[in-house]
Amino acid sequence: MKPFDQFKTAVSVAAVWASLVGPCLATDLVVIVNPAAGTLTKDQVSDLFLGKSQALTPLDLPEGSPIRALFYPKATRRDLPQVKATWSRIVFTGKGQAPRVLPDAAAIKKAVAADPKAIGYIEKSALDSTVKVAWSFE
Amino acid sequence: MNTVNTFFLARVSNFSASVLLGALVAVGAALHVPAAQAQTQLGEHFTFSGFGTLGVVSADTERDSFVRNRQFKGAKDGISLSVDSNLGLQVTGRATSWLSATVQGVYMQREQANAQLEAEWAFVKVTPLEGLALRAGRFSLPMFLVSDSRNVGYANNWARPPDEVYALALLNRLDGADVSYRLPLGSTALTVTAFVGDSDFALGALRKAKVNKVQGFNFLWDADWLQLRVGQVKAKVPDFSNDSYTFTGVGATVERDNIFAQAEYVTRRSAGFPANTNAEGWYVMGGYRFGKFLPFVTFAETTSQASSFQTSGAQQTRGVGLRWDAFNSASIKFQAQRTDPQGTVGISFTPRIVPVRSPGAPGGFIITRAPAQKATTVFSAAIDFVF
Repeated sequence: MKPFDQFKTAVSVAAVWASLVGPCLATDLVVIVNPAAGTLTKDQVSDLFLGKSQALTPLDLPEGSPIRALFYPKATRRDLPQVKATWSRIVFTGKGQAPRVLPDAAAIKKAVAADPKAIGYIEKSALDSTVKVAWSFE
Repeated sequence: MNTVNTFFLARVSNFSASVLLGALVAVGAALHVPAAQAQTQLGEHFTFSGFGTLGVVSADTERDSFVRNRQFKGAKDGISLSVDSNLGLQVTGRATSWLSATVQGVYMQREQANAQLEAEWAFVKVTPLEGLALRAGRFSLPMFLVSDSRNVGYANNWARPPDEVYALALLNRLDGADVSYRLPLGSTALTVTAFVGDSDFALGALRKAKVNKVQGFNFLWDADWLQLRVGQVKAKVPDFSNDSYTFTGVGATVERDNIFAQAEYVTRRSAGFPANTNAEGWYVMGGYRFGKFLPFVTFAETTSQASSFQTSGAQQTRGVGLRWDAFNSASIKFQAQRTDPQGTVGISFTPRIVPVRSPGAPGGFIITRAPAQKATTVFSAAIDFVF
């Protein structure tokens, strides 16, 4: 393939990729904790949502949620099926419980505000003063 | 057509129809519940969860059967549902944030003549400090990278743990106690576990040999995309002149971006019966995830000392497979492999011992080792689910 043809192919592939991924990137996510809790590092967030650490109790949005589909690859660098397999290893060896599933951002905020050991993730636009940001995906 | 039907029904009836039905119901539930979670709350204190596999295995053996982990029977000259299929149910009760108990029963084909339900886990756990856990009761011995979840098809990418490594271990479960501590090291963590207790292993389908003074350790280092593990189990076997048995293993898993790779190396040593029992095994597995599909290749090998009567022989397996996360709580797996016992009894074949009529011998029989096995092509398809 001539170099310019290669370049054109690369640009069109990039354009297609950007059009698919772009809208997703536009949604900012925040990881929220109780106002009494401290902030966290990205590694700590990843450990909590992969069951490696039990310091806090993670909460999930429902399986079909696009926010959940965005959160896990960003936070843990793993696909959803991989995350699920990781959690099933934790659950079926008695090492822990999979995150509790709550229906929407409002329910997550309510649970996090009520429990100093809870941690959840919501879109940034849903953030309010009842919860504290532990980590922000910029 | 009639012979095919009879053939199929004969194989199906070998594995309890009730388990089949239960598994089908569970699969149906897992597939159709939209927001399926891998557990169900029963009131405030109890959590119920389960897993299972419905798997069919076909092997072109002639006289003998292809099995997994020293099962009594398996796939012989046709298909079998009992090699990979299982059903596990688990209940965890939490009394306080630091005191819990877990029971897990698994119905599957083991060394006994028929598939049965056994308690794989039954322990009380105390977590007095962050990162520190103490358990007492029954749980699996940490002999491998995935000792704990070796029966949970969904948690692993392979169709079954490579026998060249996983069937080398004669012990599976520990009745005793362990202590585990997870030490954060920067962005990584080191989990150290030590355990003591008793165990047993099957001598054929009807008898078990007791094993005591089981003790050992396990180190697991967990970084973002890399996991390394090293551990050792030592035990005494009273029925065999109080022999000292040692099982040592190292393992590594890489999960980075879409790459998946795993490798383990184990050794089995007997102080009193080295010629019959000493063996090594290892495997390498690699795969790449394309969305919901993860194709993988595996290579596994085990070697043992040449002997007149071996606990296990030599064997090599080359396999390719595909994991398809087709559903939220279930995955479909295909695997094709060539398993070659290299002119020995192998490790994935049965029978392992053969009683031969001998009028002069006590009881009228002598036990000889199984004859050498032929290389076998094995195909498997399975659906793994969690609920």
